[in-house]
Amino acid sequence: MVGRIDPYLFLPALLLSLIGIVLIFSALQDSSGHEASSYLRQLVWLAIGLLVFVAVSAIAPRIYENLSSLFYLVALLLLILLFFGGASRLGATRWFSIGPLSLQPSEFAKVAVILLLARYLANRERPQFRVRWAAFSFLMVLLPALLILKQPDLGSSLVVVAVVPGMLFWGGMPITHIALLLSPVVSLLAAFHWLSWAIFMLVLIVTLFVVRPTLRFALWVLATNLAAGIFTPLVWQRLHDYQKMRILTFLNPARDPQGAGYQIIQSKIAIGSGGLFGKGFLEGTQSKLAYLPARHTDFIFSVLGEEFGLLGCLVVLILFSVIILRGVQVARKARNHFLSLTAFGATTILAFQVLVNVGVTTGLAPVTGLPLPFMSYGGSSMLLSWSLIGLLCLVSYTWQEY
Amino acid sequence: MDSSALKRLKFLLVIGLGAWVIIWGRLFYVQVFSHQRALEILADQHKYLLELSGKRGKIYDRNLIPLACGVNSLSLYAVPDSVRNRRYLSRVLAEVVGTNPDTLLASLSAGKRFVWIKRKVNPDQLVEFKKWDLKGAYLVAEERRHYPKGKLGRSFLGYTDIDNVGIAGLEKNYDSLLRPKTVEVPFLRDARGGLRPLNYKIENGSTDGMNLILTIDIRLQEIVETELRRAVGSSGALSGIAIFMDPFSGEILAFANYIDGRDWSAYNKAIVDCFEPGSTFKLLTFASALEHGVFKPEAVIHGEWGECQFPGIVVHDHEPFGPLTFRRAFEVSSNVISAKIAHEVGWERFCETLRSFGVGEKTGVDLPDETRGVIPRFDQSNEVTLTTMAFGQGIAITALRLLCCYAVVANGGFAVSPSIVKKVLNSEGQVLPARGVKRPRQVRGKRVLSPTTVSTLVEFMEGVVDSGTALQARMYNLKVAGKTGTAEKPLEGERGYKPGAYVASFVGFLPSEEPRLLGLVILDEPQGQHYGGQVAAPVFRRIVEKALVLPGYEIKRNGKGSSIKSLTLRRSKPSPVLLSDEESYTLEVGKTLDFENP
Repeated sequence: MVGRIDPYLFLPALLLSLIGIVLIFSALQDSSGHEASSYLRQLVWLAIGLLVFVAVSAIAPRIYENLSSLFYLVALLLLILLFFGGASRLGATRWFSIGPLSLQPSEFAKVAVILLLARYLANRERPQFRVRWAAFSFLMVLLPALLILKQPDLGSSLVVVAVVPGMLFWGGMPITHIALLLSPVVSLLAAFHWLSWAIFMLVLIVTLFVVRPTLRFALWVLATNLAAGIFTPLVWQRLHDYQKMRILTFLNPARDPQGAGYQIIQSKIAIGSGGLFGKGFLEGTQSKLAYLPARHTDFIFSVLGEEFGLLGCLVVLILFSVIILRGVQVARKARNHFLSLTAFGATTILAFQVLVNVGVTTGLAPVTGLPLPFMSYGGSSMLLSWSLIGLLCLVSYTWQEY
Repeated sequence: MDSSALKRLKFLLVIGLGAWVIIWGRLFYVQVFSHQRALEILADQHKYLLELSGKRGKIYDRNLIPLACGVNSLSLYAVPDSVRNRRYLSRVLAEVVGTNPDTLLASLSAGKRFVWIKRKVNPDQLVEFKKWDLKGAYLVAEERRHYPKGKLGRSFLGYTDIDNVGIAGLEKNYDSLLRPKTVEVPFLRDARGGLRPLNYKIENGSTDGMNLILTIDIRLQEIVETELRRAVGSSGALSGIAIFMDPFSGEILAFANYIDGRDWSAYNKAIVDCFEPGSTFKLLTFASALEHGVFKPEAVIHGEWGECQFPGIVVHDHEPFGPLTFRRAFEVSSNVISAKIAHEVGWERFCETLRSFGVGEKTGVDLPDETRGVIPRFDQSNEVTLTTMAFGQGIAITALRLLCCYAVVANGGFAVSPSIVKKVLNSEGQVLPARGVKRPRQVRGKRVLSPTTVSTLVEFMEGVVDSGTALQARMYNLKVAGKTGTAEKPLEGERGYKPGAYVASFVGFLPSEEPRLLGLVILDEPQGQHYGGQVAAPVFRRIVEKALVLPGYEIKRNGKGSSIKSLTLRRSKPSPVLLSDEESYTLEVGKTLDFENP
């Protein structure tokens, strides 16, 4: 059993989890030295996470491949059931309550999507990657992504969607094609001003001539970009002022320092005040005085930055990097395409969440509500993170078996 | 490894490195480049300076009896946003504080963030309220100004507004000293506005305001006010003034203004209003003649049988006098002879005497709104004015200025500057350095009259009481010196005098050999009897009779005559027990003050 554990994956993950618990302890301790018991619960979640890790890495790879469709269907079913039997918190229905535990099906859906995509793309190993496969991949993800968006949980649905280009990339789709595939999203943003959109369309057409995709794909790209460019201003004009405000504030939180921008501003102050070496354990005033919202969940990185400074951030980010680099290596060395794609998908999810979370806490990205893997308080995130490590270890083991 | 896989890995490497560079660049920017800025913002939002202040200084009388102090009270306020049910709350609160629930509901619904329900309520009244534990309505401790002696002395004590800022009387004049000091205490403020104290200690009482010790003797004040009110009532006068002072130090012992129909008022008639003093002003005419050697006391002057033509004016006496000695003319208060004397003295010399007595200047007493009086221009000689000024008409001064003129005589010829604040003490009972007091204390005024003039005038004034116009001021076994006045009141806004309207006055001191107590009684427009000797002198006598039984005012009898033993402080050093605060303000370090309303 011990031999099956990849230390380059397991040890950084364990260290990150423990650092996370220490930070949760500090984040929830108020100025009078009273601390919430959350760090103990997180310890329990870590234990459960380790069990899940062992279970996930112990199952034969074949089973994942065969059951991937079933997982996908179960995930969909759970997401639908959520609307009938889910528990609501702060206006969002994301959880199933089972006794004292509460679990988010969206985390399970992330794993299911990876497995399904891996299986689908693994069976389509040809010299020439078909654009049709990409379209189908997106279609497979669309349903769970929409269900998750409806909860509402923007962060998780973004993760589910973001996995697709990553796995298409690993599945052999040319980067230029992926870029063309994603071009309507850029078009959507560029369309806020006719000039920027015109320039973008020009660049797009030149790119099409250079890349020379199939005619059908080229037409599709042009059509979607045109549609995005034409309909965005129309839709924008029909939006109510408050809806426009919401979107603008999402893109630029500084517009609303008392509301949506508050979290990011406070988080930046917290991290910034940490400086090079931080204020020291339990010395963070931003968390102690409750200026940091969600300081033990989505903004745990701010607590790290405040109390341990740039140095602490360095350590944590290196640990994440080790996992991600190892994940790519495992994906590269995997025994078959299915396992390779699974490993890469798992790595993509971890990398994406770390990037977005750090981006949000440092004020680079709008607040989407994504936890930092291993470190943020919450059972579902812990279980997801550890099952991803479990999958990676599984792939790593099967590779090293040779 | 095929070429496309290698390309992918290279691409991944570029992406990964790009992400690293962006994240590290950002972290470096936030944690190193913006570090100082973040610390500044942090200090800004975490540090909170709470203004805390001590208690307003107390006011004591000369025997350290408190006249003004602060008592604990509670103020009730509401934060309408956090009220669950406004209608219900306003009904409950209206019952607690006894107001109209509808107006309360209206103010709660006016869209304000903060509403005072009732300020400075006696804590006992709120026992019920505390049981309710209503959300949205809170209590805050506030100090309420209290005057233990009630209406006594309120004219000079004045009063404060609801925020304990002095707006009248001594409370106003000494507000900067009485007002508690405000210190800014650093607190940590959390995101909800809750405050957590840092290690910071306020020294006990160091933020309290200064205490005043007055020259007033509240026992005498009570006697004076009672007698004055009675006299105003029985004589049917519009108002009355009575001031008693220690002529040696100028310390005012009692200071009473009574205006009929007004229960109490911070209107100090005695220094704000000026009046034509009438015969009491003759002191200055006679003093001027003696000082300039114009007349000897036994010189004989003819009274012209009560009527005499002077340049531009005919002067009358209250009864026809023939030839009288200079002394007798003062005792019987002849206007004709006074005018004759003034003319002999002449404008220049007479005005010089007035100036040396301080007529036309403020006395400088430490009360607000003192006036100078209405004084003819000394540099423009006027025959008619000279004639009328000789018997105290055609010139108007304040009652306190008149008293100060007599204080010169009682003080052996030296000028006296009146004062009402004796000492300023800090909360530990230490006397404040001189700069805290507004007016530097004058130990001894300049000489105004020569000793011979003084002793002659004292004899004259004894004669007034013994055989002149002020017989009713005579006292058993005690020599009293005094002078009566019965002045005509000028019509308002036009020339001439109001028929039948007089100001009756008496100024006197005792014992005349060694004056210790100087007093003045003025009654404005007494009905029926209107002569100063009939109306004001008896009031003076009654006050003095009652005062002399007070401890510290006893008459010490020795071989010849009598004297008052002492009028000084019984307790010259303030006892720390009296001054220490019962509930000094202390900040309990480590206790969280929660302000629901930031």
